[in-house]
Amino acid sequence: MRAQRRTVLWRILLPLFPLVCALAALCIGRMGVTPADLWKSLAGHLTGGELPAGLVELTLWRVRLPRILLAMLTGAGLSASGCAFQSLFANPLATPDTLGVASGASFGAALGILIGLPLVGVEGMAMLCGTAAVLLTALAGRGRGGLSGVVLAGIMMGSLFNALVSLVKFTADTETELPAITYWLMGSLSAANWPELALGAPPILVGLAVLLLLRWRLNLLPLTDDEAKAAGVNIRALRIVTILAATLCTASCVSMCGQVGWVGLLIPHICRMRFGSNHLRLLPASVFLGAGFLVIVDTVARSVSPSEIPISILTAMVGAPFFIFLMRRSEGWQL
Amino acid sequence: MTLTAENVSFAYKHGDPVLRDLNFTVESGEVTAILGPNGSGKTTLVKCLMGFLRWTSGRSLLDGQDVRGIPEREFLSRVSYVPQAKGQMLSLTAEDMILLGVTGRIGIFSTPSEEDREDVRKLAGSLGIAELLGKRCTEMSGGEVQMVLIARALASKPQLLVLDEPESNLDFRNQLIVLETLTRLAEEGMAVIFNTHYPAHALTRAKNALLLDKSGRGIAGPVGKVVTEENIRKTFGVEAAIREFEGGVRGILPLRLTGE
Repeated sequence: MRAQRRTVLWRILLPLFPLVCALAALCIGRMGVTPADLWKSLAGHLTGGELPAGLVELTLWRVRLPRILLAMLTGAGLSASGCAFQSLFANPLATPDTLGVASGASFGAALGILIGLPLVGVEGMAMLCGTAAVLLTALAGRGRGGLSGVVLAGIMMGSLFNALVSLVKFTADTETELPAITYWLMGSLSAANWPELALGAPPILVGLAVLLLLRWRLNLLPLTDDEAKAAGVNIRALRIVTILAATLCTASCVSMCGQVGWVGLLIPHICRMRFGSNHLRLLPASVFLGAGFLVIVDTVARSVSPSEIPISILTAMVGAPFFIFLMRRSEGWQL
Repeated sequence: MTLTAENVSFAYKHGDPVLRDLNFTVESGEVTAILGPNGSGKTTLVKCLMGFLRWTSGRSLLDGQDVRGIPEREFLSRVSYVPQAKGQMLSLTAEDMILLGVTGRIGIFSTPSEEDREDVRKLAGSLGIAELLGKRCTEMSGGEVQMVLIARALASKPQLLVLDEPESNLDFRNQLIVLETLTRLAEEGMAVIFNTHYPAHALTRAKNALLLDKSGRGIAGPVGKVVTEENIRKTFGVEAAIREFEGGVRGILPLRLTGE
């Protein structure tokens, strides 16, 4: 009974979390916007009443809201693909970062920027190279060395693609392309605007939707092929769809805001501790928590100092100690 | 329900045959044991029976119909598989783990219904593992995990249960719990076929046995005719004594290696 009431409570709290974070983030920043302004603007738009000053309006809806939405999408997308990859490789350390997917996607995106492709092209390249990276990692790490095999292969693949990114930077024009690539690689959501969001959001949403719809079946992925087949499931098709959906999420996040590390490891594991490993609950929880988490981190990144801090620096500062904490926990790594 | 293997053989690619010309039948209401030394192809045989591997020659028939002609989905709704309980376990609760067994029945994007959960609870109750439902598989003993895996296979309501070494790595008590379960399932009308390292378990539980030797040939038939001191000596290279205990229970004790 008590457990049931707690479940209901979480079901209400979790979706509210990113929403509350977003509302708070709308009011935080260098341009002073008070909650009263926000309320006035919201009420004004809903009832057709009086709106706050033009600059406030502009800050709220043209600058902050797209950025907050991008943060939510990126947080949700990276967390969900982290969950999916962990299940897919039956490995608690598998994430977009450790499998080399993020590096692969970065290379694709950097190449796209170098040859001057539009955002759709950059995203396509990121998706292509991200998929190539994860398939290479899966092939190289298959059946060797148990848990560590695939992660070691992922580290290799990551460093290979990072080298290729360096090659792209090396050939880039130092005046224009290089700063663009470098700054984007460090991870920033500052470029967020409506047109970009309109192009970048759909792939993330599609990937998320597929993973969420398949969430019960994600539980089958860590089983051996024979076990999964015996449960009456086409495991090959399930694996392929999961890889594509998770890579789509990652690649699209990377092409919009660079490498935002650690989220795909951090969020799923926090949720595992609280909600267990059944993806029926784990995946939605990771999506909501990830969305809220990245809104918080991005708000800190853009408001603590006069010039913005790259977001990957902040996620690494939270992520690295947490990684050590997880490693030293008595039960160790678990799926 | 009858599963018949007709002249079946199997060889891995570029390898010598692992199984040669086997013939045997598994019937509803009967327990059949597969015996043989390490490396004799017991697990391979189970995988071929389940259709995870394809016979190199010969065929298996389900109620007289060639298995290759039965859609995989239909076949797997009638035949269920319990893998060896080894390797990494998931930290799913027993209830969720057992529920995975119904996945084939529900739609691709569906999640198990409350009805499915109720079925699982009933099933767990009938197997005597109701108190495990909320426990995580990573925190279970080997015997508990094995029972959960059996429950998962039963969740799809099969007619034939195929088990790969279900009582390996278990202590006496847990071995008996698993074996009792198999006996009871057969009494309720299920066909059960299991791999085992223990000739004694075949003697006490199975009606029929299939004894494989290292070359992949086998002797099939009623367990009393198959599991004999003579056959054990030939296939395992072990002098063993089979004795009858009170109540007609037969046991077997390995005495010494044969001098070959």
